[in-house]
Amino acid sequence: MVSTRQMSITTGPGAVEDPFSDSTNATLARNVNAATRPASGDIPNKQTIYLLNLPMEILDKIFSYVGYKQCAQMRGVSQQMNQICSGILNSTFQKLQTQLQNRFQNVKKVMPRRESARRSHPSAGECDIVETCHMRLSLLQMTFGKHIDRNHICFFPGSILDEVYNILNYIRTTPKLGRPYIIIEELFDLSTMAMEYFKEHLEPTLPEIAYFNKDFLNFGKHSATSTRKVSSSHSSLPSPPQTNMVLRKGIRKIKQGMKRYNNQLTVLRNDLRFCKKKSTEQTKQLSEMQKLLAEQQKQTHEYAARLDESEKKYEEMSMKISSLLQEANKCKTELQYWRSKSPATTVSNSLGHLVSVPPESLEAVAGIGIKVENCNFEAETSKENPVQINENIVDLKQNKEIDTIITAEPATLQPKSIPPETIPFDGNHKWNHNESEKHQNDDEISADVYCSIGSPKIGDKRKMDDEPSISSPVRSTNSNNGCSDIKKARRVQNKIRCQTKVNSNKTRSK
Amino acid sequence: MSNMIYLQSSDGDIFETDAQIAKCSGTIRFMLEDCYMGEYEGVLIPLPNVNSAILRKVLKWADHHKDDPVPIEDDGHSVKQVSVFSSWDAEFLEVDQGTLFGLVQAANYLDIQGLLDVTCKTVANKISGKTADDIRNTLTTNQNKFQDFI
Repeated sequence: MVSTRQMSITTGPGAVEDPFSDSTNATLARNVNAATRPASGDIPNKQTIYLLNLPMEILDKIFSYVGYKQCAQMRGVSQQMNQICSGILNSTFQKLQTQLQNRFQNVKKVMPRRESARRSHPSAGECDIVETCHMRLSLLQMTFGKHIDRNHICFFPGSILDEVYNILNYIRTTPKLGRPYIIIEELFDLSTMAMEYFKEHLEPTLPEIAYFNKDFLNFGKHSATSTRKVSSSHSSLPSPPQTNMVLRKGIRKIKQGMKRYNNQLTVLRNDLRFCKKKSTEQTKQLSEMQKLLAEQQKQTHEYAARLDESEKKYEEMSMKISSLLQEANKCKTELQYWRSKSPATTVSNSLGHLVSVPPESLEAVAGIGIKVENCNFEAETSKENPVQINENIVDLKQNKEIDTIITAEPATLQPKSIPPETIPFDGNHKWNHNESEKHQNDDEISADVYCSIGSPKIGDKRKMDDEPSISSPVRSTNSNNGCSDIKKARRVQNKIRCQTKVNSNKTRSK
Repeated sequence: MSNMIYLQSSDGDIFETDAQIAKCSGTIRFMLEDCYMGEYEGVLIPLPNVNSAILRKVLKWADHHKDDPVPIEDDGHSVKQVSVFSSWDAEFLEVDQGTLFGLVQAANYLDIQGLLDVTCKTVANKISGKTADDIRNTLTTNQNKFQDFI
């Protein structure tokens, strides 16, 4: 019969044992003190379980076997038991109400509309019984419901619930129902007694319920019960005048509340319209702003494109300029090289021979009245800029000529040709052709300095040969025999030549 | 051919039993069919909410009622009467209060409808016909009484 088998493994927690053997002391060897374990009948409970430790659904199941009358009586056992039993009674009452309402509606659908036809219908008895039960429960709900909802009391008449279940059992088990009023008589009596007891003994002690207070206006769980109350008051038996008065007061208060709510509703509607208008305006503004934004974005794109183009052009131009500068530098270096190598450093003296001017000769020039300091300075700087030195030399020459013209007396202004040896230069300086050849490779500055004091450059050699009298200003002053106009004209011509040279040098350097 | 499975109680004891007997419990049946996909030969099922003594009693009851038909679900439309049950059950449930409530809890946890009905009816029989004082003295704890006194 027993399908399980005993495994007498006594090695610890994994010990397998026969569940149906009474001699568990021998087989249970998991613990050290296994021998001290009681027999199967006396179970060692570490935590003794009591009735109230059981889950709620099990208690509900147990009390459903006990009966709701007993359940109502058990409320006096303890507070915990009171809470449990009250919950069971209330929930059962609500459950029965909905159950009977549904059943009544189902039966009513089956029944014919004619009253005479109803009487002869086979389920007429069931319909009457269910209707009466539903009506009695609705009355009880009207009486207790508001207090049950506020947890003032519970549905204390548990015997009514038992009776309703008995009636339902009777309907279910009996094929041909007897007279309804006999079946319902007990329920009628019980419900009437419960209502009377409540009104006489319980209601005076309970707190007065203010209709339509915060709980009522919550429209929550109480709303369903209250509406049910109102509907049942219209359909049920005539209720006592107290309830009518209360209902009228309630209706009046409801009307006042409705008016208040209507006013609030109108205000809210106005606010809503205003908000809608505002929202439409804001949407319009938003769309306009978006359009503007799009246009500005287009413009920024265009400007960015233009900027890119201009940057490209600028880069091209800078490239061209840099290439031109490079070419100019090359030309400059070439020019300097060729100048240094060319015979331009040699100058011609008054006789047309090419001579080179050593730097010491500048002192001699200073003795004539030329500002040597300026000459030296310009000579130093002219190494870097040969063009500028020509200009400075021209200026020096002009100054010297003016000085000589001013200092010259009219008696001395005779047309004598003074040889170049008479020039009050230092004797060390020999102005001959050989010496000029020696100084052929001197700096360009010395040549320019010489040029500035009367000797033109090699480019003007032919002219100098034609007009030897203007090669030196000192000579020109000596040979000036009253023909100052002619000399002046020649000087001007020299000036012009020098300027043209300077200009040509500038253009070359550029 | 019988498939043997092992049930481990909260105390750590392992009980070997036939799978058909263990399938009286809805919890174990669903575990075997869903978790082990029907191949449950020699599997070990831990039952942490049932101690060894209660599990032994439960297996004993299940072995006795392994051939019983499946109980019909209650529709809730009728009041439940405390029915009379078999003498074996009456003898089986002649246990102390702690064991009875332990069996109720185990039947609820293991989802054994028949055992739950029987144990609940037994508890209801013990309650019915007693006054509040009797029930207070027998079924509730001293703590409840103290709270009531306060």
